[in-house]
Amino acid sequence: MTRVVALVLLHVAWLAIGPAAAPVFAQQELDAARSALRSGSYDEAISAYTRLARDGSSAEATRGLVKALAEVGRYDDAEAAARRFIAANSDSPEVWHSLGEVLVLQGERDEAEDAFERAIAGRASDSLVARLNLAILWYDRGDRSRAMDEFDRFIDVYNRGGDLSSAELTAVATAVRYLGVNDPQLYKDALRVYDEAIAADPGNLEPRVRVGELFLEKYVSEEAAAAFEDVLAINPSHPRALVGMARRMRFDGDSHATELLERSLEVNANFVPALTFRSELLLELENYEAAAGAAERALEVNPASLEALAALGATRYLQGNRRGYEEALGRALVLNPMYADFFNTLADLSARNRLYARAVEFAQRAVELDPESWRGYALLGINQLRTGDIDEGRANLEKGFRGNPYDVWTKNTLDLLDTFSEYDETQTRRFIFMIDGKESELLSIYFDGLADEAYDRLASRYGYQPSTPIRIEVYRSHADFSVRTVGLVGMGALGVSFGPVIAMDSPSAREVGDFNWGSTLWHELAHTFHLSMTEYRVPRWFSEGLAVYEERRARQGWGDDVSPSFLAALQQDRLLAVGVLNNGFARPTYPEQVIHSYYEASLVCELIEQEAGPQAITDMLEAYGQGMTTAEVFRNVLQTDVDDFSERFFDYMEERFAVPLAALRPDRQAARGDRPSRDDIARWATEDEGDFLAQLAYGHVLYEDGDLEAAVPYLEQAKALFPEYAGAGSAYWYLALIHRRRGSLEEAAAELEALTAINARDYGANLELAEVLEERGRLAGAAAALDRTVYIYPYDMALHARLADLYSRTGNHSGAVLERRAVIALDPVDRAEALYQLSRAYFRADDLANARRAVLSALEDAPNFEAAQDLLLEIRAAAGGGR
Amino acid sequence: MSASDFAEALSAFPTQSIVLVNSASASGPFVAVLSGANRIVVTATKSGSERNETLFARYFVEAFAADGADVDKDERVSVLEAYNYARREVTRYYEERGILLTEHALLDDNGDGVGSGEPDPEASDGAMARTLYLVGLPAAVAGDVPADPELAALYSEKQQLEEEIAALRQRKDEMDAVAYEQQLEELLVELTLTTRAIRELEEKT
Repeated sequence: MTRVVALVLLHVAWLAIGPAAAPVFAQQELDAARSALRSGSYDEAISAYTRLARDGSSAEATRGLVKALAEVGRYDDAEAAARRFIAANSDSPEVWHSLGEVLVLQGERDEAEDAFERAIAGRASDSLVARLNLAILWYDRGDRSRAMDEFDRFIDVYNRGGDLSSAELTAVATAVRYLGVNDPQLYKDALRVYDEAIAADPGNLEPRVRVGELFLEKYVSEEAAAAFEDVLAINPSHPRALVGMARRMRFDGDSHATELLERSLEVNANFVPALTFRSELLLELENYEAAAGAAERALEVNPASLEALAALGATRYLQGNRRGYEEALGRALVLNPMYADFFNTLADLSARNRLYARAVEFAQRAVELDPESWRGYALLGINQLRTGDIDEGRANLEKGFRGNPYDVWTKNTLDLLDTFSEYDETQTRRFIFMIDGKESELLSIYFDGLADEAYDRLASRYGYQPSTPIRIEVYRSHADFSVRTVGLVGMGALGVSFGPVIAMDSPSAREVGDFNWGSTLWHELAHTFHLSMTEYRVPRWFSEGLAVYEERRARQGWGDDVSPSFLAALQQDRLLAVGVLNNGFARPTYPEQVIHSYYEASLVCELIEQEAGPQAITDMLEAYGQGMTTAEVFRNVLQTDVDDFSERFFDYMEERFAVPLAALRPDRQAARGDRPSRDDIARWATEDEGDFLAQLAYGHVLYEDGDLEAAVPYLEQAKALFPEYAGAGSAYWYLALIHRRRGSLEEAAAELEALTAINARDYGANLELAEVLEERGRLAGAAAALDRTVYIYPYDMALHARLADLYSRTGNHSGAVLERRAVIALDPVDRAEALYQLSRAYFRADDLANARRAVLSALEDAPNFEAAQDLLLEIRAAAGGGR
Repeated sequence: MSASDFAEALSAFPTQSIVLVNSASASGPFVAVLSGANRIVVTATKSGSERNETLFARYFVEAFAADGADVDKDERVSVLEAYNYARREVTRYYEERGILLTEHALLDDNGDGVGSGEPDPEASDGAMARTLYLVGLPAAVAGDVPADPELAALYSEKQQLEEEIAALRQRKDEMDAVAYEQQLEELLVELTLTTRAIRELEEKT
């Protein structure tokens, strides 16, 4: 009895609060659901919206549910939820737009169009947004003029004033953004209206995402990042913002792009932009099968995704699968006969895979298909510049810029092209050198000779001659080189080869000793050979490895050498297997991985040549040229599985570096920290004689203390433990200084010779060696050491004069001529004296014609220069000219 | 002292040749105030806003002490040669260190109140500075006629050849390069032989 009474009372109580409190409660729950959706608590949002939409009468709840389900990729469920509402509320137009959006995501374009039209016809509360999406649908089908007319009407909507919601303002801004294709000034208006949309509802993430995407499209990385960061601060799981940020990171060369992309796919495994981007990233790793798989997966979700079809087409093309490429192209053009971005994507991805000539062809097709494809003109121009067609490249960039003046890449490149008038262009037998007028006279002296030597040696090695002329651009400003290469400042590389065009830093673009321009030029020319031989199909790891290997073969001490950091990575299993070495360049997972990968790849090439002979390298290049994958190349050319080879290669490294590997203590090193005390260093060095870094560090400490005698055994021990180490602060260097202070010049010379034989890039060591050898009367060695410094820093006039003198004294008269020419190129104050010295050098080299010309120039400046007058008479006498 | 103070002080020397070198920072405005007939005004900077410490004086003095500034090899360093030496060495100093040049020297000697960074005696400034030396010249160079008639004739011939070379240089741009070189060489050989004859005669006497 008691229980019955209680139940009745409860029922009464519910009735008492029901009518007034239920709407309040529902609104609170709606707010909570909306809040959960905006913050990325998708499960919570879906649960809440499901409860709210259960009775089938709340359009708002249904729209929220559809949106929440769509954001996590449950498109079928989202569609079903929308259709349930529509079935139960046939008079209401309120969910048609939501249904249309889900249908678009699944590629059901006809049905989507019908749904948008119903929302508009029924004057649904979101009909303005439906109008936008309908127009976008037309645009994506190639019905451009109809779409643009509709976009244009949004300006009237805005200008009429009225109280537009945040979603409506976003729709207006997006329409204006589309109109920007014909009037770039409208991009600014679009941004302004997006800002209004954000102000109208700061919780609405859609306008923020679109701002990020707009900036990304214009290569304005910082602004794009800021917009996406704003979104992710509110909703860290927002799939579109995550993909946008990942794309931004890829644009900036940030290797963490993949992590964000995967986070996006964790939230929504069916998110087509993420799957498409994954395909592009895999393509950059030259992992064609996986790239195709990702694109096909995207097309399973949305068979009408033009972006996914473009990614699939690019993959098929790069795989050499012509039929697959044509199929993808055909499908895309059926969906949108004006879809120029298919070719733009092909052009972009081809260029990322170093197929610059193909990129030109694809971009050309893009602008033929759509003369308003400003991106197409930009891609065409950039890639024409890369293939050496400067005039056409500039013209197309200008076209692209007129249509899209907010494209930072294009603007930077055009600004750079404006500076080309300050450069001198000189054509030689094989090369066109473009060098800043301030230093072209000097650098041409050396670049021409070295480039010719490299060409001859590489041609002989590979039995192949790339077509000439090869254009070599040398930039005094690293920022200009960076813009030439990637359109933006901030790239870390020293040089790049586009095949027929090489761009690189000038030695004046870097601090003294930062790089060796000679080995960089050699490296890039090697790439030109590899790219040309393989029709640009050589994978990056192999080309980089070979180029470093060629540096080492060019001159003793050039190219990377083994470092403690590399060996520590080997010990800690952080070096990549040969089959995936490309990842070390394209997606490094720790800061030094790119550097390590260069050296590792060069060792792979070394081992291949050691095991299979030099012809194997050429055969491998030819096999890559036939379109084989790395696994196929190893199988067909080297008759080995790439993974087996990789195991053998790691054994080879273990054996080759057994001595220094045994002397490294990476784990202990990490525990020691960056600034150990003097006492700690002393203790470690005395406790463990096999610890390379402890021995070297204690040697340094004792040297700095001035206790040279005590320092020597530690430095000698460090040298014995790691004889290949000749980097900064090496034992060789300190021992040389000690020997020199002791007056033991031969010993000092021996240390410096050993150092520079491993590391010829050390400017200070070469200078020191030259001094020591000259003091010892070993003039040829001194000259060789000074010659090495010219490849590092060629701007020291006194050094050139000294080298010229050494060459003269050792009978190398052609060398002396070169160095005297360098002195004149450096614009000496006493030009007459420099010309006189040049004339003497020519005279000694039996080049009477140039000797006469130089001495006449000297006397033209200083007619009473008696030494030059005497030389003139000598030259005339030698030439049989009397007096 | 200000430029005006100098102007007042220098007004006491209306006919003398004056060389005024202001190697201080922000010295550029001295040119406009002190420019005038028979005056060479050199400043270390081109304006009053170049206020960093200057290097010009170091190299201007060095020009008279070290080898390298006497570009025409007449065994004397003219004011123009010293100026050019200092200007180039200052520029080299900055370029070698990869830092921005913060001093741009000027020379004015045509009295127009506008200094030249790179004087050209034929076109702007430099004509007076080219012929003015801070120490006296050897008698022969200064134009004094030697007592020995043979020597005097040789000096006269030498001077004529120098003038012919200078005139030839003026016509260089209008001439065929080969013809120019041939004529220049002939004149230079004559000049060389004349100079040798002078030396031999002077050694005998």
